[in-house]
Amino acid sequence: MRLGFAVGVLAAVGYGLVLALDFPHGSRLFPLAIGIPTMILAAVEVGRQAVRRRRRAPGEVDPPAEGVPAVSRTPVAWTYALIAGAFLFGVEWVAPLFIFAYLKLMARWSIIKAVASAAAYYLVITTLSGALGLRIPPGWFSG
Amino acid sequence: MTDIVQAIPGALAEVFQLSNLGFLVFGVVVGLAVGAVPGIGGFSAMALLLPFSFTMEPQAAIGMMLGIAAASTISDTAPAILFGVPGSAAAQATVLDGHALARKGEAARALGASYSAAMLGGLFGAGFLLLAIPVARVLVKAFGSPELFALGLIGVAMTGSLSGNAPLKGLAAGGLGLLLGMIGFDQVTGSLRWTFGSLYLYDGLPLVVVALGLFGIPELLQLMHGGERISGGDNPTIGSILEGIKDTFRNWFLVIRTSAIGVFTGTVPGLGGAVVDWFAYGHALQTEKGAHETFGKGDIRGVIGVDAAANAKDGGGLLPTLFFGVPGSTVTALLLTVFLVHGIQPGPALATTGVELTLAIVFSLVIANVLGGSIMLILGKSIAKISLVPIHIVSPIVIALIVFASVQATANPRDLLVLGVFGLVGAVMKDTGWPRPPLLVGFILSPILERYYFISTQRYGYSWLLRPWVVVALSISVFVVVGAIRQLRKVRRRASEVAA
Repeated sequence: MRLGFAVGVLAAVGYGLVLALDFPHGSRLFPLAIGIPTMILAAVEVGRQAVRRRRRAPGEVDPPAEGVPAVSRTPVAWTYALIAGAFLFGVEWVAPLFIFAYLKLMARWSIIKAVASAAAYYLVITTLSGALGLRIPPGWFSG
Repeated sequence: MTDIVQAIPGALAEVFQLSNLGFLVFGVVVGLAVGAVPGIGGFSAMALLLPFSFTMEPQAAIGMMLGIAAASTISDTAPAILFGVPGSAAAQATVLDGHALARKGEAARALGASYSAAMLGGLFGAGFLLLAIPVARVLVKAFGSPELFALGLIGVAMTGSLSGNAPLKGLAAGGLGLLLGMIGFDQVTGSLRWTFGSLYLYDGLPLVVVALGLFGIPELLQLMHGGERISGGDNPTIGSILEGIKDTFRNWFLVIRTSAIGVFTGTVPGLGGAVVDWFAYGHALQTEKGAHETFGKGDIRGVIGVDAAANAKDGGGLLPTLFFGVPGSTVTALLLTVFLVHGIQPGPALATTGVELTLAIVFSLVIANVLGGSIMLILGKSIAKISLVPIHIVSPIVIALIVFASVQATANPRDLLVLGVFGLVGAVMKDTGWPRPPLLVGFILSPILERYYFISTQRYGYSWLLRPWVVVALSISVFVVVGAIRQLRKVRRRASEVAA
């Protein structure tokens, strides 16, 4: 993953630099002044990681930098299901539904407690939005 | 000076008038409540109450607004410490050591230190404003665009020191952040950069969403994967809160230094809350003994330094607002609106003929900080107990709050796409040892640096590079980078000695 991420940064910066060449003169000064050294740094990091990888024993995997991984299947699936659902159908309804489903399935709460928690969240958010004049945008499909 | 002393009784009488004090207390309570909700911050509450303030007495309106502004930056550290989710831009750096302390079972100590440091920082800021009254004009005029650009460069250089033991990755991440900050409409030439034809990207990526994605999502993903509770410690006690307060007083010199950084950063229009915490964190990391080994792993000094600076900046931010009519942030812009609506003309005259009003503002700031800090310290034990709740109960609510906070940025569902992308990028950076703070600092500083560079070059050609303060600031930038590399070498040498 370390090498992959370094390559990703290098590719993103490189692609950005190629696009920046078409900017008007005044607009490309800063992107190039920052982008070129950044690309060099990213390339050095790719080289370092490639060397590390070559020296590693076959089948050996880098442990997460902090011991416990941030990228793991179940938490990522739940979190991105919420983000995708909120994007498509709107936060207002998807978030309480997510809270209910998570508390029921992961925390193994009773249906009544899970529904009450989701309802409490909905009430707090709608009250806060009403009081502070905050906007809750509809989703991609519901808008 | 005598006119200031003579104006003190009148200013105190104005502030302590029952209705004025009542609105100030109301502002503090509202500020504490909204500050604790991630992504909302004091600005929303101030914007909502702005129309009501127009019909109020001037001092009552100013007191209420100052109460919200000061108190919201005290309570915004609670979600940062407990869940690793910054309550506002000024609480981003609190996540690093505050959340690490909470996970070690020291949430109450971290909260005690955070609130007491914030209170002292706020008092420092108010004190600075008081002392600045006679010299306000000279102070603000000393800094033009070249100096502000050079100051921004110090911030970028500091990314090297915010990178733990990976300065190379830190600088690359800082560069990436600077590039991401250039996305959108180029204010200098009027052309579009990296918008890919999307209207949404014309205004650039929203800072709140980028920050929540980089810091909020990865911390929660890690918590959900890991233990049963945020903290493995015992029930928080009053003793732990008191220990945190003692920590703040033990590190009094750090509080003073970082408060000074906060005040100074607050005076610079455009810098303000989003970077003040990183400047303070970088300074503490570079100057505190053994910080390179312990910062980021739950060092109380990382919390104290950051939160003192974050609150001290309010006093600094009021300096250009009051004496030059130049608001340094959105919050001070709202305050400026209140002044203008009530017929108060900001300018150097406030340092002479309007000294009573200026003093009333200083005293309001003092009261807001003491009151806000005290309320949070009293509630600290109860707040810390949240860290003992099983993570499967807390996490869905916090994630739902992050998602809700994200769509407040531009009220566009695309904010969620940005949240998703930066959440994943942040999580991968966390797992692969890439430091995230430099990316965020670069992202924030990018438009500021470019704007000041453009103005400096247009006005002075390249002669501005030789201005004394610019030379000093550029030297500090070099010193910061070299210092970070030397520190890294020292740490590695020590590690290899221990291994041998």
